[in-house]
Amino acid sequence: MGLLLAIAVWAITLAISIPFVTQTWWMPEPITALGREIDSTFNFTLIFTGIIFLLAQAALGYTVWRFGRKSEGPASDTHGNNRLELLWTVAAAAIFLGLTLYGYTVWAETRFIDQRQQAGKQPENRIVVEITGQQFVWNMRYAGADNEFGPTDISLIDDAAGNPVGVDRGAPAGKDDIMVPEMRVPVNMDVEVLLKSKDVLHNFFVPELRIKLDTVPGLVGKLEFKPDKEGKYEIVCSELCGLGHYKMRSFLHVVSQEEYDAWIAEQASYLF
Amino acid sequence: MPATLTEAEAPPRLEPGRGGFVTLPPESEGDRGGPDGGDPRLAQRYRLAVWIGMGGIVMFFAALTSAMIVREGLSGDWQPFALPPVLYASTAILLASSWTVERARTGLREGRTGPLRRWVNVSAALGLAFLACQLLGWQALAERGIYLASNPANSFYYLLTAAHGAHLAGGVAALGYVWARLRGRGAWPTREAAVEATALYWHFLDVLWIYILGLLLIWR
Amino acid sequence: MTEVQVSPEVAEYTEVHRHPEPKSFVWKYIFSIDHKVIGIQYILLALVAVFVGMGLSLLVRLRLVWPDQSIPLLGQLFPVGAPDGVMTPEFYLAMLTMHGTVMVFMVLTTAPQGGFGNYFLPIQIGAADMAFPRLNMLSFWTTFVSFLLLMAAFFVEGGAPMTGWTGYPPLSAVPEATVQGIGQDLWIASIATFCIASLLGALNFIVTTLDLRAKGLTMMRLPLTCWTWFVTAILGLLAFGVLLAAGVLLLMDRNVGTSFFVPAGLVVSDKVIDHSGGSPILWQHLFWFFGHPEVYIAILPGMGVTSHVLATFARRTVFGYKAMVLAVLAIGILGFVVWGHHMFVSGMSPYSAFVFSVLTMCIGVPSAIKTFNWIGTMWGGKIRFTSPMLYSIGFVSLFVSGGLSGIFLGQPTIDLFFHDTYFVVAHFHLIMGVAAIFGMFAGLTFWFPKMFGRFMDERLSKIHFWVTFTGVYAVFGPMHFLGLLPHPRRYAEITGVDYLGTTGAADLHMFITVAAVLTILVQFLFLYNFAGSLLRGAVCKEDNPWEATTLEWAIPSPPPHDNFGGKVPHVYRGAYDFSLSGAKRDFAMQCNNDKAVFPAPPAAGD
Repeated sequence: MGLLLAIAVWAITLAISIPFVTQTWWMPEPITALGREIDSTFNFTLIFTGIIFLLAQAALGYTVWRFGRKSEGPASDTHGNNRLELLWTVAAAAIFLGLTLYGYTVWAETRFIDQRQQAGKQPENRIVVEITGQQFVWNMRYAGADNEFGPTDISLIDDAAGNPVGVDRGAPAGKDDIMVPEMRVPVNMDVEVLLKSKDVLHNFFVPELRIKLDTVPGLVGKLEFKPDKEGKYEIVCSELCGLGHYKMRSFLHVVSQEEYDAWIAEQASYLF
Repeated sequence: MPATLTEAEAPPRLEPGRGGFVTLPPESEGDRGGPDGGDPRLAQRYRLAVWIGMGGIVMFFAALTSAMIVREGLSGDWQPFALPPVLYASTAILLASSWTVERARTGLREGRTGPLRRWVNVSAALGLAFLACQLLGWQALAERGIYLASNPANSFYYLLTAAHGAHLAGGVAALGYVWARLRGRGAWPTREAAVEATALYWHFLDVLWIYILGLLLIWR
Repeated sequence: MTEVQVSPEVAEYTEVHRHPEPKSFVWKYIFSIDHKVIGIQYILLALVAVFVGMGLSLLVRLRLVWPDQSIPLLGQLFPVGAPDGVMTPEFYLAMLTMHGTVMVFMVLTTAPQGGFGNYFLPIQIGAADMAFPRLNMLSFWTTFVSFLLLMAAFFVEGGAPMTGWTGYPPLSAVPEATVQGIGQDLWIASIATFCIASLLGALNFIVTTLDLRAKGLTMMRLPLTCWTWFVTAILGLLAFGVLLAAGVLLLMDRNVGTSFFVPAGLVVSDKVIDHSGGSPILWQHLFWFFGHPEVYIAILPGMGVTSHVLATFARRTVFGYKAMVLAVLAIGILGFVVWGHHMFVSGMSPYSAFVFSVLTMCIGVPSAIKTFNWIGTMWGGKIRFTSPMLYSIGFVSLFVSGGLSGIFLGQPTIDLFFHDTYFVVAHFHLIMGVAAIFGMFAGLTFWFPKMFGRFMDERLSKIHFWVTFTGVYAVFGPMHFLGLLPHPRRYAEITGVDYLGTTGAADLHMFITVAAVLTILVQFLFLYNFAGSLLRGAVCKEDNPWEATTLEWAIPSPPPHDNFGGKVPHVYRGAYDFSLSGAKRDFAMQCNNDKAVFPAPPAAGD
């Protein structure tokens, strides 16, 4: 029985570990420098926890096998071993805290956006896109030629007339705001997204960017990224938002600067 | 082969920290007035239970407090209002009731049933008077158009006073239980447990009310 | 009044008063104040609830692989949610919500603590009952009412709530957002009722542990089961009050128009919602301040049972008893300061996220200590492979597997990718779900002869163990890979997102569903074994069939009405004195001080 159990534990351990090594089911390629850094944090953690996982399960199986055999003599009556216990306490603390500290710089890069902006460290040339979630679509707003978002008013909201966030088209800043259902940004450009919601919680998640953030009604969330690979990437909702949650998605198109300029000009031309 | 050791042979660490031996649960025969009664340590157990119960109640009110502070800090729709003056009357009543509960305890300690009964009744009456005053307070606010849902400041006022009132109603019920116990021929230790536990809980409600009043005054 | 046969193990008793056994059926079995009957009532409630919860998970799994399949009976049971037996996406979400709620509250919180704790805490500390037997009865029946309220949510207009077991507002607070009726209100009412029941129960457990221990039973001689029940009760006392407050606020937002959690200016399907200025994040803070301790409320008793069973069947004392107690305390304390790791992507301050992350990683340390000490307990032992031992070894394996994925999720940078994906589902199911349930399996098979005077069928238990152990790994192992795709949670179908169709999610889902169906089927074998053994199991004649050391094994099986027959034993030694050197027998019961058999003086308590 002991050997059987040991083999079962070892076999299960291997069965779970192998796909992590062969990467049969894996994350899509990251498209930002930050994404690659997050991946390296992930890989680092994977190696450490993988070793602990293999060692712990192997030790469990071995113990069960070795001490499950019929043997002469009584069981050992040791009550513990302070030195050993101290050793693995310190080792566990060092590994776990080390991993956290290792990830800290990446975390700071991802989320200390307000702090960077207050310090005046934000990139000069960037695109700001306002993204508003609603059941069950994403609305993207570009500020237009004046680089300024127009004021909004909930009484102006009219989904059917193409004004899902209630932009005041009468206001000077609101006249040239562009509303689109899919997002388009030029490659190698700093992008800032402002995340809002009209109704319930949603979550803006692009797997290739490796980052996500809730859209909370009443608050404005911020994310920054700089994609360096052209392509069409899916934006999926990652916070339960109601019956259509599973189909609430949109796309992020990363295109060349020329393509982007042409597209934004085309969008602007529809306004007048 | 049952091996029986005398107390002297037993290892030195036999005496427990607090546990000691088991006494009867309160529903046992002795509780209803048998000669061997309950155990004087029953009062201690009941008081321990009240102390621990306070932990749970404090967490409940701490959650409401933090919700109130966060909610007030978050948005611009918080409209403070003057508390109804009747609250000061209810505060005085509650403070007085703590004093009368203490008088009842004194009666208990001196073994005088008359004063004990009298002061328990007075305390319960004061508790009911306090609840009546809280209702008057709600009525006064409603007359000023300060309703439960019209502003978060109001919501928290109604919620905190209602939650405290519900706990106080529990205290009045406990006094009612004591009153019923005193009418019977219950054993002394059990009576003592009921009175001591109720008194402790009552003082706690008193302190809780002062805290809520302070919160409403400072954070409105 | 039948006289209790005094066990020869017990060196000395203190006489206490006996109280009479109730005679009528209602007072003996329904409104009983006997902690043993109440414990069994909790276990039966959890058993009903676990099959309900499992049935719901089956529906969830079926919908994921065959979204258009009609299930005959379902259409008649839920004509709105499943017209013609085909589940709608909202029905899927309702099943998922109810699965989570039923499992977390009605199973993981009731059986380990209310069930086994109620039954064995008083006996293991040598008491005749809980400190407050009537309060105990009230706790159970309040829990029962809460269960009925929750079940009622299935059958009201609009059906069961679909907002997840976390019930995040505004989705849960604004009826227009889900187009649902009273189901969500019943859900909140049920949870609030459950909170009250759990608070009363926690109070009772704490006083019992502190005040009713037998003579000589110091805290450091307590069995680890008692330690975990005690710490769990403290967690419950401090956590459930907060959830109760949150529930009251949410109920008010839904029904009387207050704005605690609902912000101003919401527009749901072109309709302006009349609320002002609330904060959805506030709910998340309150909920997870409860929610994270709740995880430990579910798992700690399982850890206690595992330590207990491993020591008993390895014939070894618990390795590092003191460290185990300290680890339980550390997990309990840290459990209150890490709730923020559930909210890394909710937009909280990045500084506090970092603090929460560091504290979260600290929990890994006591968890690692426990794991190593479990292995250390078996090391050098003479293992007896009974079914409770198998379940306990399974617990350790699952605890390691489920715990290590927490190292990923506790780091905010990595959580940015994995939050709300199947990786999280895999993590918490392994550790909080099945590990805790393996603790219950171990407890039930271990204590069954004591509770009912009959053994469960070892052969059936072992078959059940092997299928369930491999089955749960087959179900939750692949979910890690779904999480890597990344497959977001709570998706009714995989058709809504393109990449899920091309990266093998469908195959993984199919594999998981097949494994889940097999695992669920074998649970009926367990049920059959449970019910069959109650009626026809081999009779357990001895007091101590497992040759264990704690006090419950010093009294008859099943125990008499007042446990020790109007007496309480004295305790002379720690809870796990196995294989003492120089002893004539390989176990020394806590109440045994026979110097002829155990020449060495008892250890001081560690």
